[in-house]
Amino acid sequence: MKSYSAALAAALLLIAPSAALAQAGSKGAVRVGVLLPLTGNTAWAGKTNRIAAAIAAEEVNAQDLAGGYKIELVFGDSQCEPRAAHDQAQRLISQERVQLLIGEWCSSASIAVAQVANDEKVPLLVNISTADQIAGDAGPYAFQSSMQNRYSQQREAALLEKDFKFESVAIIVENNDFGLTFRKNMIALMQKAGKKVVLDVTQDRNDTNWYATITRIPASKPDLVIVSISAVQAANFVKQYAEAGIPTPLFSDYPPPPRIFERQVGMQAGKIGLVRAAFFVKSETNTPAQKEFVAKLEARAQKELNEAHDVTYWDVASYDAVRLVADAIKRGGPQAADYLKAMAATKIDLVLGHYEFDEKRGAKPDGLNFVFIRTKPDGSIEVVQ
Amino acid sequence: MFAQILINGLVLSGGYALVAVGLTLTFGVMRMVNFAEGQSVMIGAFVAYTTVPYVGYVGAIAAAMAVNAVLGIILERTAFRPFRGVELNGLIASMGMSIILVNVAELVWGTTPRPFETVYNETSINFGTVGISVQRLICVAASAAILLGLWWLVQYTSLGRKFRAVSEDHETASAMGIDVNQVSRLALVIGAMMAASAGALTGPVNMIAPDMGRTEMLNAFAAIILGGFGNVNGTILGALLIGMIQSLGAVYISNAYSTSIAFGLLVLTLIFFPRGLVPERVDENV
Amino acid sequence: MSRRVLLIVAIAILATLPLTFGTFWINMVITALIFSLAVFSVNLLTGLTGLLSFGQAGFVGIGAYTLGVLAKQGHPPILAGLYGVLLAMLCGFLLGLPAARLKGHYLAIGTLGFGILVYQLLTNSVDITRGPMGLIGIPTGGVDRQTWYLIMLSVCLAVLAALAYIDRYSALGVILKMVRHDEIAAQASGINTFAVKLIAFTVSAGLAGLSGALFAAYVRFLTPDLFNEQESFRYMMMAVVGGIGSPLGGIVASLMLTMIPEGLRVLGEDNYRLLVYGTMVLFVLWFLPSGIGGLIERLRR
Repeated sequence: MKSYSAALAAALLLIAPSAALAQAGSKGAVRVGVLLPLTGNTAWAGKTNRIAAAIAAEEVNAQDLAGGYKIELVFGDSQCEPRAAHDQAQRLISQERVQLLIGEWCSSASIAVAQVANDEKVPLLVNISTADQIAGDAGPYAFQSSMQNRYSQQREAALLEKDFKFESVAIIVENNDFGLTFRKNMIALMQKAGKKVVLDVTQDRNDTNWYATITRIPASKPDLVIVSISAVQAANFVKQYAEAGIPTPLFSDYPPPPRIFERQVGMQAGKIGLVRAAFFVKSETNTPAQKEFVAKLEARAQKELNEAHDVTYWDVASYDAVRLVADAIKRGGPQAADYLKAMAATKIDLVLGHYEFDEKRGAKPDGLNFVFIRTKPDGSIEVVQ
Repeated sequence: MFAQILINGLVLSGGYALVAVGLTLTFGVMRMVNFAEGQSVMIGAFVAYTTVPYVGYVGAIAAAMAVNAVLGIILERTAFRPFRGVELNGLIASMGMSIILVNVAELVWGTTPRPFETVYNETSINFGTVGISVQRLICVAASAAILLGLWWLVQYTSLGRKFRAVSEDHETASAMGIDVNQVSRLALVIGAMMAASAGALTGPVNMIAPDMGRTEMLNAFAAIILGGFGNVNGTILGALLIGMIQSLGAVYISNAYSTSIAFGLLVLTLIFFPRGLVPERVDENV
Repeated sequence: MSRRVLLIVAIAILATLPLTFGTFWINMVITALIFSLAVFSVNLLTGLTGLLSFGQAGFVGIGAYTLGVLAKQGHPPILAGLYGVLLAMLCGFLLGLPAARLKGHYLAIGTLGFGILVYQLLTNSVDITRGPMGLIGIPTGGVDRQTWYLIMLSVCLAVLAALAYIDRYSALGVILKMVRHDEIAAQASGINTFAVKLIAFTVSAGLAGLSGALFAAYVRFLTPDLFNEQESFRYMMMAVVGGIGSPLGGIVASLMLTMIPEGLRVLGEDNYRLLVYGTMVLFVLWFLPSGIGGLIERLRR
């Protein structure tokens, strides 16, 4: 008797793992559409985001992280442009038959995708756009896994109060959604903290000439200048600021891609001691998960794009998004209603940190990575916290 | 602060003038607005950026002009000459060329914005509270020199005379034995070379990227209206005016509407001067 | 007799065949038809009356945002759309007042300035339009795609017919064309060319506003970037490729220039397909000086 049950137990033990292995991918494939700018003026970001997402999908399938389903990514080129994003989202849903969506990069394009997602009842994960309340405004099918502008701005205000001695501040922004919300939130936060706003400038985001604005700074004599200007324009601004030789400390909200930014204006940024916020930067303070991801992506990018690449927040967000989708599928399956419930109940640690969603389907900011970096005079950066 | 504003305005004007003059030359001989002008600037900037490590900055400017000269010839053949008499089509053809040029640039150089580094960017000259980087100083000086050269060309050389003749009435000019096609081609070549110098000079001030050509043109358009289509001197003055007004407007009125200020002023000018500040000498046939 | 039968058969095919397309292509066709209303506005203004305008996107934006903002505030969408068209017409009239005195290229750049002004207003009036944050969830849902197609088809055919009538059979058409060909002779004949141009501006602005309102109602989201000067250039391009005086060519060009870049995606998701697009435009201009409309005319004979 004993040997019989022992043999049975042994047989079961042998069968079970192979049965589990056979389970991987046995429930079929789930097609997930990913919208990224693959051509156009933001393609430099989109191309590596695509690789990061692909890496995530491969890992999910190899390690069966999606509860028996295989993830199949289908990419659409939305060019960071609302019309293209709208059409591509339509194409992915109706022609490529994706069941789930991830995207997009630019807020105006994300708005378009969110609208389509809600109309077509396809769950969407907004992973990069940080505009406030995209998920809340768009409707029950949209989730937002990126930290929203108002949360990052609260953290920035806290740092400013802690580390900077100032009584008066100049606020300079672009008229895009980051800039405008930054201005609104910061003015409120500054007033609450009893600081005076001596200069308040909003510049047209297509206008690369910051000299006029910079000319006004010395005249208004602020103790601190805070700006929210994105990517290329940030580099333009820093260059021109350094050139003007203004001694006032400068703090920047929207993180231009680290490393790329340093390569472009590192010396100027170092000269003025720029401090800025960033969702992610490669440094010794990275967690092991982050270091692992950085190594993987850099190797892959070198191979596929034939150029050295410095990992950006957007790469990490693309990777994490695919993992989040897989995790929700594992717990709830790919059917919309169950998937949405599972996504709402997400509690997982990924590269950028710990992910949970609030009732308005936005990610809770407390567990997510957020750092401040200062550029040193030699052009290199250090993390300050 | 006012002095700084004036200097800023001068630098802007220099850049606008180089681009606007190219547009005005094209318009003079072809009666068509060249929508690919912004891309000429962009290509000039990129060629200069690519060749600087090999031939130095001055050599790079020359290289950019050389490449753009070829570009000018191509544009003349593909987008302008076939459409004499059907000017609207020529305009759209130049739009088509514009699309082609942007995509070629994206293929060759990629879409990542690049810093066009020159040594002149690092140092600044300061007089009291007013500062200007050496690079921008060079912008102003070089633009002034190039424009002066162009002005002399148009006023005093035989080519200049031929150009003015063709601008005024190309049929009569042709009847008088002027090779209109050759003059047109030269005008476009010179215009493209001007654009190249604009790109090479102002490129180091900011980042360069294949989509930078779009906004360059808008301000040049404004300058031509003020100065008069086809009128080189007027265009230069128009560019000066636009640069100054933008610089002043951005500080004293609003930065968020900077392009609108220039164009708003333009629309106002057109209300009171429907034929521009410097009316064309072309009379209508009754 | 047979001509009429042909027409009816053609319309029947047009009304039913695309309904068999997949969702994606129907979406493309609907978007192209909405675009073509803006192209019609160019046909009327530039093709018929000879007035160059690079600011049509401004009127489209006015129509679109009026519908979007009012509908989100609770007004019935059809009424909001009507207000959009009326507001666009008002702006067209106001623009026409100074613009009707301008000639050729001055007019072109003056209207460009108008378009830029509208774009910057839409971007910066954040309290009304939400600016770059965009409008989402415009409450015009509940109409399925097939119905949208039939709506757009009817609207476009109606406008097409109206424009054809104006062009060929009405006195207004003759007057507009006279103003285009030879303004001085028109004035000498006692025509108030100023009033004529004003009418052209106003009606064409209304058409563009209609295009915008329908766009907002169909896609149900808006951002100011949809109405920048690049869009104005695009309408002009479609109009010229279609043949500036030919609204029928305009529809065809709109369909082609919307669907072909999509179809070219087989060339890969990078710049080559846009290169092909630009080259195509050049080819049409080189070999078909009167655009597609001219080709249609020649085939007809």
